Amino acid sequence: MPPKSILILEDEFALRRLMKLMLQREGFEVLDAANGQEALDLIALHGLPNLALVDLMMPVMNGEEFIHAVKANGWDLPAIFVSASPEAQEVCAQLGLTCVKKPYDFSVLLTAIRAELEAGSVIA
Amino acid sequence: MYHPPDEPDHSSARRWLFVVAASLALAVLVVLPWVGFQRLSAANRQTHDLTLVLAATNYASSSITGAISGPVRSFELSGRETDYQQMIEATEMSEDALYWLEDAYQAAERVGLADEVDAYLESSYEFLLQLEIRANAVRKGADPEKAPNAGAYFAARRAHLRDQDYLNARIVELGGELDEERTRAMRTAWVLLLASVFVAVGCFVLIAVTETKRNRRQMLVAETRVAVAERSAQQRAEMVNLASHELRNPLAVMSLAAQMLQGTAASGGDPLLEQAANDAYAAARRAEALVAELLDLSRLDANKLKLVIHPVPLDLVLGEAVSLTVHHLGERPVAVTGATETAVMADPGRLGIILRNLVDNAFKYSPPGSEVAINVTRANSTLEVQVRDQGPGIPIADRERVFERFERLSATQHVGGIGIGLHLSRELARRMGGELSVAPSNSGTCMRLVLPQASRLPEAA
Repeated sequence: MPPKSILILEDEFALRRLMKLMLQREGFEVLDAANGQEALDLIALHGLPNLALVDLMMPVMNGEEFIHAVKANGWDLPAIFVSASPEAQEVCAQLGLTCVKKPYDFSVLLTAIRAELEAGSVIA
Repeated sequence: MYHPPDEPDHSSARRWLFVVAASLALAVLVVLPWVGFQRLSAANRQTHDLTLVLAATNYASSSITGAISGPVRSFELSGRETDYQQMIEATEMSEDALYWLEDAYQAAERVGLADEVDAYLESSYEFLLQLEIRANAVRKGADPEKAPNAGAYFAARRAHLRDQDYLNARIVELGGELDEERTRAMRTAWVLLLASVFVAVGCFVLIAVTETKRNRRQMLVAETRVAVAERSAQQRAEMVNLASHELRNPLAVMSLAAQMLQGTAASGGDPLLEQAANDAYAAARRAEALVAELLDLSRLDANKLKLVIHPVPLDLVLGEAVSLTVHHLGERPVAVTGATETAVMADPGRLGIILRNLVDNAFKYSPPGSEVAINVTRANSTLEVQVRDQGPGIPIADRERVFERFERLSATQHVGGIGIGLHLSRELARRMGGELSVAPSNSGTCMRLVLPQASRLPEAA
């Protein structure tokens, strides 16, 4: 069975790199983007991943705008918000998505990822 | 940042000014009309006096004229004794009439007719005297036209008539003058009354306008200050949001990196590396907790603190608080007793802040290695968490002061911390429908946290 793919949207380079390493260690295929626009470009190039880990505050295109773009394209893409922003909880609630607050326990994030992949929570 | 200047405090001077202006207005309102109506009153009094003089003069004149044209003429023609007696009566009545005029003399003086009345009286008495002399001569059989005092009689009669005419003319003239004076006085009185009303109203309007302008200015200053304060609070809130994001990202890197190291060290069997990774992870968690506290404090100030309250298992949050404190401040006995497996209605992150602060303080303000006791009791619809240490305790006088922001008791200045933990913890407890206080204790410090009990435990994730 091919490994599940995860797309990381995170503007903090060190964090993006660490998340990628740790997720790869857990057996995931990982793509990463520094903002929503890059993520859309990667999707166009490689196709939809199994899950997106989305930071809220990013330059060029932030997390909320990325989610709206996904909706507008009618894509079936489970997503988890991973954010330090105080507004993240509200945005998650409005969009009906799971939210993991930074800084987080990696195990907590992993649990949320596995739960989303199983449930297939979709951006409706 | 612009701060509108304070208005100098002239409230005392303004009060005095108001009192003086009000007094002046009242004085003008009273004095001016009084002056006006006094003049009118004087004119009225003079008119009354003149009327008196006129009446007395008319009475005297008519008596004398009546006497001459009636009884005197009759007697002079008839010479009869009865006519003589009637003439005497008439002259006596005339004299009585002159006495009336004498009685009105003071009134005549007041209206400036004293000389005229004097002259008329003198000439009238003289005329009556000559009339009597002439009448006596006629009584003795003399011809009236050839009476011994004929010359004096006619002279006295001319003088009397002259003085009577002059007095009457003066009375008429004076009457006209007094009428004009009364009219003028009335007009002046009304003008002064209206003027006083205008002045008084003007004073009050001036005061009212001045006060209104001042109040408007003060309102404008206050509104500007409010706007500045709101803008400042907004800017602070925006800065807080930015700081939150900027601080938490590096902390997230440190935390993840430490977790990665923990995994690597554990699988590599290197206890020293594992301990270092554990310490780094705990430090990152602790830094994140402090950032969360500072951000909550800022949100509190900006009135933008939002809590998400739901059933929270107390034991999990309490366990994490104790674990973080032990990692940071070292191992020591911590006895947790009571109904810990209960849920409270709370915001989980903020409950963690409160419990961590209480446990932290218990560790910091008691001798190293001394036991910290945590007891949980149920009471009706609330849950009470007591955290007790074996330190020096908090003096009764300081038990409320410790909850003030940045307040550090002098006995604890040497202990690390910036003095926001208890202040923030109490605010958070209150916003979750609970309370935080210093409980009475015979020894050490006992902090009491009360929170609403949840009716059920939350569902497992």
